[in-house]
Amino acid sequence: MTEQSGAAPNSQQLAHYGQAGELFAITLVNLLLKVVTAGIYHFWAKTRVRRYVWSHTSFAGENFEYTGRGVQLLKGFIFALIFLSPLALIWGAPRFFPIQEYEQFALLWLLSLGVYPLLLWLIGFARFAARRYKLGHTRWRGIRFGMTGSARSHGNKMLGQTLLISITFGIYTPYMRSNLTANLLNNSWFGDQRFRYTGTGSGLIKRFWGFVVISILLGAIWGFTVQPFLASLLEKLQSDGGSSGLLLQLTAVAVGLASYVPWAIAWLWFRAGEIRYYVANTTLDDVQYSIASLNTFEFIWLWTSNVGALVLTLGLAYPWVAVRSARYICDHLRVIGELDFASIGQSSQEVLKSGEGLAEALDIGAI
Amino acid sequence: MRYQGHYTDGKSAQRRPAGVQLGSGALRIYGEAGEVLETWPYDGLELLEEVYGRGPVRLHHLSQGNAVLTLDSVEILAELESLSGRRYISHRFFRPGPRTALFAALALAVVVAALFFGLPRLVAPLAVLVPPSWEQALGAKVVEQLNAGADFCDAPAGAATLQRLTARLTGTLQLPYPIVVRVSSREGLNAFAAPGGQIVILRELLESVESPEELAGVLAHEIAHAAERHPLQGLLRAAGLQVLFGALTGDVTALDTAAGQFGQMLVLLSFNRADELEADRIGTGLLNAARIRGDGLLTFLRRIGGKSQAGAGLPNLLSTHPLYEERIRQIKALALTEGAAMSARDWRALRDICP
Repeated sequence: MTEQSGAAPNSQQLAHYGQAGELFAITLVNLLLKVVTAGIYHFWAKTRVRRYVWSHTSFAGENFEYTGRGVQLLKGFIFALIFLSPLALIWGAPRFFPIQEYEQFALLWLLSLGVYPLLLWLIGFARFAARRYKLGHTRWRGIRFGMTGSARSHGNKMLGQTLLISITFGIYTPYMRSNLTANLLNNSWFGDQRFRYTGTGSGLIKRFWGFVVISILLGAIWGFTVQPFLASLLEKLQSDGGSSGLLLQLTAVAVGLASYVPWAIAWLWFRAGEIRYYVANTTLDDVQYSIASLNTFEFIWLWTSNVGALVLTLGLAYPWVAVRSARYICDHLRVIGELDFASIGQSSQEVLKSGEGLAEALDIGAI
Repeated sequence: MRYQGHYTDGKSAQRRPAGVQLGSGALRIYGEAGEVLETWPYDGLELLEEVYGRGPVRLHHLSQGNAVLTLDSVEILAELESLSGRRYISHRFFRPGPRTALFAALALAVVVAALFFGLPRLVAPLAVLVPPSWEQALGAKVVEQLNAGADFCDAPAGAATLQRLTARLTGTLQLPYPIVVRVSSREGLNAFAAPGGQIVILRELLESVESPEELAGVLAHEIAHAAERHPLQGLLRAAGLQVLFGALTGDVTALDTAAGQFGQMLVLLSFNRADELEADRIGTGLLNAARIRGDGLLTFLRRIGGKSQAGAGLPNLLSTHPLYEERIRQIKALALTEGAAMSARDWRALRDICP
């Protein structure tokens, strides 16, 4: 229980030993079953992949365990659909009103005033609920993780904090992100022990402004180089009535997409710092965490190469991406100090029987 | 035999080394000093997750809450299965290697092959099952989407002429729905057949044909597509592909999306080679029956053949080269070389159908 690792004294590490080949075999079977079931198998497939990833991640010699079920995800998704369909109706209805186009436009604009806040709220809600489901179905040494607090209040926070951002012209962004993270982490439990997050976001201000400045510079460069090129390309496309062929169209799309890459890299630069900050400010039962060795450039490379691999292989590289990312995070996450395992008792929270529907329907969240 | 592992009781995160012995009806867990910690009957004993060759094997018991028994090696499973009389589904024999990779590649190839070769074959029998009234409704939606922002031209004299020509061409056909032909002010040198017998000729095409027989040739070709229900089959093919891709990528909303994009799909899909040749054959037959010379399509194809290679965002009236040659040959062999499509006066009226 006291495996020493080089960097920090008295620290322990997570380990991930999944193999891309095995996960590939799993995803392949999943794929076949999804085809056969017209996609319904999706929820079981997701569960199967999670079970593999969780059970191949270990801490202090013991693997994690995922206890979620496919049918629970399906149930959650159906609930979410029932909940969301009236919204979709309201949103879609003006299109069928016998009114002028500009009136429709005005109506949709008015509706969006109500719908976008609601959407923000829903995203906050869904994130919290999805995390609660995932943690509630994660065990280590038979002890459940879990979450207290309410998804509704996270939705409120999401809405309120976003409002603060727009009032402060974005200055508030790192605080907002930190506050939302605080709400998630402070409500997270391992057994009867609560995680504590003490960050405020002030340590992220400099980096965030760095990101803003870089973004503006990139925007200027884009305006002088990429934009004219794209404009000339579009003009060419329009002037010959679109018969100039697929190649030109593809070039336009590729250039358009590629011009986002520098921004993505700038964002990842911020994100790496943010992750280090969040982890450094988190404790559980007097034990601290650190991911200080998460190197910004490695992190950027991890992400860009992952996305590149996924795009080039039309998603087939997913198993490799998943295993590699999990391994990278585990290799850098350190738990500093000794956990008193005997004093960590079982969680008293009840386990959710359905979950993640909203997150699924709104397309949020990774694995 | 005694197996080595660890036991956690599900009440605290403390784990203790444990030995395990399998009895006739139950599994016994021993502590370090040899004391019995737990006795788990086989009934209710389950694996936590799939087991891989390298281990570990993790077991829990339905009546034992969150307690977990972890065994370092997979050896225990054989004895457990023989004593309990149960099969524990696991992957303990699973070893990824060249053979797995080969199998995976093969399986993937099968899926892809099923997608691209199986689906097209399914489409024709499926299309037969679609009631004509549905097809008409679908077609109306497609035409509406494709014609968004443009108008239909309907000068009375021209529309009457067009209707007479259509009636003359469809005279011998048995159709599940009436053929409706309209001229649209939408841009593009093209004509297309939407599902449900709805044919749209774009203004630019009407302006670029040099004789009524050329127009009759194009129209007969599109009517033949409609009669053979090619547009519906094309849509089913495209929709099927989209749903399948949705299934592959886990996008459960694919079906919904597919339903919303029929018009767009008709734009993207092109009829296959066999469909085109069949439409030419049947179309020429219609022209012959109506006693209209059939080389109109031929001269039209030849004249604009060079121009319309890549398609102006609409399915190509005439597709790529080898097929082009083959089509010309077939039309030449079948077509009459005499017979007017309409009077000069009618032709003027038809050309003036758009304001």
